Amino acid sequence: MDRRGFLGIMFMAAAGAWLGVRGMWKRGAPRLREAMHYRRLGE
Amino acid sequence: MAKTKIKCELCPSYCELGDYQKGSCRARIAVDGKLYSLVYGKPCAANIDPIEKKPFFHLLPATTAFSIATAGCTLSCKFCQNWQISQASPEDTDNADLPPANVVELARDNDCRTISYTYTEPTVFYEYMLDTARLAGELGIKNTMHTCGYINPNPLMELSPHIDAANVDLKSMSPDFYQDVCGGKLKPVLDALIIMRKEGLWIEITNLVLPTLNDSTEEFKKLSGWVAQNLGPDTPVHFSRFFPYYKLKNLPSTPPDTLKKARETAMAEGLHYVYIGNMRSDAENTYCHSCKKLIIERMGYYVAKMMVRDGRCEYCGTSIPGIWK
Repeated sequence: MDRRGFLGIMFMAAAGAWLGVRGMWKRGAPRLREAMHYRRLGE
Repeated sequence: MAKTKIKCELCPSYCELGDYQKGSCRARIAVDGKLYSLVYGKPCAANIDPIEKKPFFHLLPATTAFSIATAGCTLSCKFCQNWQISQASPEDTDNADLPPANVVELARDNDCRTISYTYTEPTVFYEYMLDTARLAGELGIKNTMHTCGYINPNPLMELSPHIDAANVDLKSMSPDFYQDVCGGKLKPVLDALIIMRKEGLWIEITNLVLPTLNDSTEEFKKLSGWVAQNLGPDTPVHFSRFFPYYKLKNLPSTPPDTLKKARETAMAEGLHYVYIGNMRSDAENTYCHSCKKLIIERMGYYVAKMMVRDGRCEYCGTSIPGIWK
């Protein structure tokens, strides 16, 4: 394998890893929506 | 320094919550001085149902409703027929990821004329329902809910312009029944019904008839009289047959004669459209209150005959109350 091929594979692997981590992060991130009709007490 | 407490003002339970505490509905949590919905865009049930299943008998008969629910409920009825999801926390149910835009898209793609917020208590997914209803309304899809009516006036009035119809469970006319069997109060439900009427929602009432608990003739009379007087005699009432579920497995199913008695009592109180649900009989049909002819024949959720055109009886031309287009 020449240098360009090696760099290409490394680039693809890095991109895949980044997308995978990003996907897991987004999927696992809390997606809570703030509720309506409440108030804080004691302020 | 003590953390700020939150008071949820969505339903008459008025839960006061410390940090990371959930409301009694299980669907809302306080975090760092803010209240969050745990169920926004996370339905635990999504189905296409006949509108008759809700039940709505005077709203677009023989059409389908895209129906959604999330986990949780504002009440804790011992007879709940959907307790597996209504009395569960959102983390214990299998939830889909379905934001409001996707609900509306699915409803439209499946030719559903309505979206129904149902199965559990839609008040617990208030924000999700409101956002979905707004979007659906813009596309001409009607919005309906099946609710216990346990919601405070302000949120109800904010929601009402976006909801076309409500089927409200009026479980009893006894405050003690609401306290002991449902873990709630009767008065807020009656207040909510009057607000819905003032706000122009189409209302149908469901009363689940429980042997020994709410099946006296006096109770039927009181309920029907209140509906006739406060919501009008054209308000359809569905007396529904109870089957032993959840915490009331000790009770038998409602005897058919009790349901027939309930219907007779309600009609004697002046109600025009009284139905019996969860049981096959002639009382699942609609009869014109003027000429008494059969105008909508139903077989369970199937509409076999439809003699209402443009909201009028095809035999005598009398206007039939409801939403027909």
